[in-house]
Amino acid sequence: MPDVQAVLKVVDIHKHYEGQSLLCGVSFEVQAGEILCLLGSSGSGKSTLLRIIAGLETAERGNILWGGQSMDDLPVHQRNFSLMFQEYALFPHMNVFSNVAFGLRMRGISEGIISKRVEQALAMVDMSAFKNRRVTDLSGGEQQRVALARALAPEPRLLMLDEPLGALDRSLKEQLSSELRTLLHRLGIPAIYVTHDQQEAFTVSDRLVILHEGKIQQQGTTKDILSHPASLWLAEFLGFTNQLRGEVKTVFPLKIETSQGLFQTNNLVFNIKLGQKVTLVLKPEHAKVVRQNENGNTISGKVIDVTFRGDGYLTKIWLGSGQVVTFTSPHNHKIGSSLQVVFPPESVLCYV
Amino acid sequence: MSDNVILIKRDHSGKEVWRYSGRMLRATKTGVLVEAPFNRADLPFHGLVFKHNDRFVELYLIGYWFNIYEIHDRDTDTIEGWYCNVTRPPIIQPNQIAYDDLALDLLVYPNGRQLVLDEDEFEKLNLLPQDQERARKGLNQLKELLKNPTLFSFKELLERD
Repeated sequence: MPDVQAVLKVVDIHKHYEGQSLLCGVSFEVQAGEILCLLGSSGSGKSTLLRIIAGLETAERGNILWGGQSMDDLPVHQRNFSLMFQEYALFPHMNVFSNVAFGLRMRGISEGIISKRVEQALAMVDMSAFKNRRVTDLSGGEQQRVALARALAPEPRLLMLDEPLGALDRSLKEQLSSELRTLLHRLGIPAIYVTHDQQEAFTVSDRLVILHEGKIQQQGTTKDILSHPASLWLAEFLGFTNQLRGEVKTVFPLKIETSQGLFQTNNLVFNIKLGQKVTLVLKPEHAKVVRQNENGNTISGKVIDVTFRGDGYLTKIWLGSGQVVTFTSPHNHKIGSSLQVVFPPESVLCYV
Repeated sequence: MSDNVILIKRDHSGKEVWRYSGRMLRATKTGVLVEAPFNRADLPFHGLVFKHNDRFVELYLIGYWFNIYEIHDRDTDTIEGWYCNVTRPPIIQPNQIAYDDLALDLLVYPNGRQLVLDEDEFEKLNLLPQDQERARKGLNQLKELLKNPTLFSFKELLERD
C-alpha cells in the first residue's frame, strides 16, 4: 500500500530465533501523524518487530526506511525514535522532573537544554504543575502522562508504545486509551502502538496491523478489518465464533448448503469451485429474529442462555447439531423457546 | 510501578549474552544502584569465591564506560571485593538496564590490590580506535576510584551534581 505520506517503511522483515521463525516477510508503512497499532497475542512477534524498528535488534533480512533513507546501520540513539514501555516504567525514587530528564541526561545533553525540554514535554501532556511531585504520589493516568512526557522529551520523530497500558484494569484502560489517542493526535507525532488487547487497539488506532506467528494477517482500519477479516483464523481471533460448515452449491451468487439449509453470501471468494468445502462465519450484528424461514440464511434452534449487555440481549441458540450460535437481540427471549434467526448475505463470510 | 529491574549483559556487538533480575535501590541524576543475588553456582575466582546468592550491589553511571559490582557475602554481608566491567555507557530504563561488555575487567580485593583481567580478549575485539581509547579511559577511572577501597563510596558517585 504505497503512500506518498508514508514516513516509516518496514520492508520484508525476517527474523529467526533458535530455528523458529519469529518474523516472516513483515511489511507495512506508517504515515505522518498516524497511530498504527500492532495487534497480536503473546508470541506473535510484535515486540520483536518493535525492537527491530527501534534498532535494539537486527533483522536477518529486510529494511527499515525513514523518509526513504535506510535506518539499518543507524544505532538506536541516532534514530530519534522514542519507546514507552509497559506499566509506564518510571523511577519510583525520583520526582516527575527527574524522571523526564533521565533519558536526556543519558544522551549527554546539557542541563540548560534538559530543563527547557522537560518543561516543554510536561506542558504537552498538561503535567507542568506536577514537576516536583514524587511519581509514587500520582494516579495511574498521571503516571501515564509522565511516561509519555519522558518519551517526548528527546523530541522524537516516531513514538513507539509497547503495551503502555499493560496490566491496568479494564475500566482504567478504556479511559486512558481514549485519552492517549486524543493526546497523540494533538501532538501529531506518528506512533506505533503495540498491544494484545483488541478493544484497546480499536480505540487507539487509526490503522491496525494484525500479527500472528510472525506474519501479517491483515492491515487496515478497524472498520475494514471487522467488516471483512481476511482469514478464518482472524475471524476467530476477532471473536466471530458463529460458524457453519458447508459445500458450495452455486458460485454466482455464492450459495452454500449447510446443516441449517442454504446460505447466500456477498463475500467475494476467488477461485472457489462447485462442491468445495467451506466454513461460513455468521456475523451477529445484523441478525434478526423471524417468524419463519426466509428462503435461506436462517438458523433454527432453542434459546439456552440470555445475558443483558447494554446494547441488547446476548442470546445463545442451540442448533441441535451440537453447535451454538450467538447474536444480540433487542428482546429478552425466554430460555427454552424456539427461534429462527436470519443472517443477511452481507453478514455471512465464507472461508475456504 | 515496582523496583524490579532486568539486567542485560550484551557482548561488544550488542548481542545479548546474559540476563538476570535485580532490584533498584536508588536512582539519581547521575546513575542507578541495583541489588542482585549472584544466580550462578559457587565460582572460585582469582583467590575469591563468588557464592550462589552473594549480594551484588551494582553501580551504573550515566555516560561512563564501566560498571562496578560490590560483592557482599551472602551470610555476613561483609564486602568480599569489587568486580568492575569496562563497558559502553549503560542504557538505563526504570525496569531494564543494558550494557555492552567490552571484556576488559578490574578485580579489586578488600586490601586494595587490583587485578586487570582479560586484556588479551579486549585486544581481539578489534574495536574502533576511539572506543578502545574510551574503554582504556574507563579502566583508568576505575583504578583511580578504587585506589583506596576504604574511602570508596557509591553514595558520593550517585550524588554528584
